[in-house]
Amino acid sequence: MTDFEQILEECLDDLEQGASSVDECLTRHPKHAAQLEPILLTAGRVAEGQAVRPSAAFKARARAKLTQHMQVHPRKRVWFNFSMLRLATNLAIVMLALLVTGTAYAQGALPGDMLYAWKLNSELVWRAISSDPIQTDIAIANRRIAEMNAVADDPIRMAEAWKGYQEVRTRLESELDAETLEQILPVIEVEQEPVDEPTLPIIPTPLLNITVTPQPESTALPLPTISIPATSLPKIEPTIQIPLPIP
Amino acid sequence: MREHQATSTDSSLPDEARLVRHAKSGNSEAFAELYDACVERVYRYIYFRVTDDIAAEDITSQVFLKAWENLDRYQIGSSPFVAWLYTIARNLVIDFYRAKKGSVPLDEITALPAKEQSPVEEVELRFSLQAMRDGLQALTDEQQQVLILKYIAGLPNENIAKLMNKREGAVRALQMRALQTLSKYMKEKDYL
Repeated sequence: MTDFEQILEECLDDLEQGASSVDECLTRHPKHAAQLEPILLTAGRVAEGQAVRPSAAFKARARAKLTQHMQVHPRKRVWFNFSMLRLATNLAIVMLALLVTGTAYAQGALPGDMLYAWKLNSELVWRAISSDPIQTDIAIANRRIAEMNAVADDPIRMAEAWKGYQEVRTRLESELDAETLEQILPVIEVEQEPVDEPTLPIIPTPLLNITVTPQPESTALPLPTISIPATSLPKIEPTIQIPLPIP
Repeated sequence: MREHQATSTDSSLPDEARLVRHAKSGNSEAFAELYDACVERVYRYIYFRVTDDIAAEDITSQVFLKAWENLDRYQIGSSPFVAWLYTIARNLVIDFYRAKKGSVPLDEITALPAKEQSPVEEVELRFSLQAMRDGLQALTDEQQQVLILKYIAGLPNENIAKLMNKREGAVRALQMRALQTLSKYMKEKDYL
């Protein structure tokens, strides 16, 4: 801001507050008086605009028009306003964040943990929206086996994980047919790899052993069967035996 | 000038929040009270933004119809109610010029001075106001806005800054530039 602008601002403030008149300002700043005078006078002229009033006839006419408009277009009582809408949006964002965080956190839950039910429910959603439910079920079965490994020293929790595993296995059994077999075999083969690693000391065996037994072509339905011997817990050695038509 | 400032700086109406709350819930009488309290200020604002008195009246009337319809958008306490009306007025003025594609020549002056004055004083005042009104048309939209809101509507710079979505310093600078431009115009036309 230049010197002149500072002086102008000071004079305008003084005039606005009634601290000094135009002449007093000009006397205080003789060097800039010629420049200041028209501007200060203009400011005064603009303020004279406050004298403008609409005619009484117009005010009455416009009021009548407004009253009629309000009668024709009554305001509906809104049960929420914009601030409530904003609050609801914020609340929804917080809830969504909690849901996402909670679901992510629940994935590490083990049987008996507070968030385990959340984990199972999230798996149901996962399976429901999955484009490939069979792969999802295999992944879920792997989870149950990993859980059994983790809670092997607690029979109650172990039983819960085992029950979950049985449910997935039942589902897989019902899903296997000639079409899905092609899909499921390579997936199961892939699934075998991690369990061979020494990080799973309790269940070193493959997740699913598959034995494909060729069958005569006359077999009406080449429905696969899965049998998983679980004779002694926690040693789990599930096996899938699948009868296939002879080519 | 001192007198004008004293009467214009009360930008919020007494009991404004209660009236707005009632109006929001559908009470037309409360809104009519708001109309009574604000109509002169809104008219004055529009009067200096257009050169046609009929248009000034018409736009003033529209401001209140629009305000009634969009009352939910006004947040009580966020700014004075009249400041919200100025925003509506400004948009309607812009629409007016868009529709007209230019300013409309002035036919007659119907606005009345506030006080009893002699015929000579009244003519002088009307002449002066008309000169200023013409001068304002020579400014940019923002320059008109800051001068009218500051010196005619009497809003404090803080409210003007909010209304125009600018910093107070920027508003002050804009006011000074606008005054300088307007004073040049007034001098050229021998209005000063």
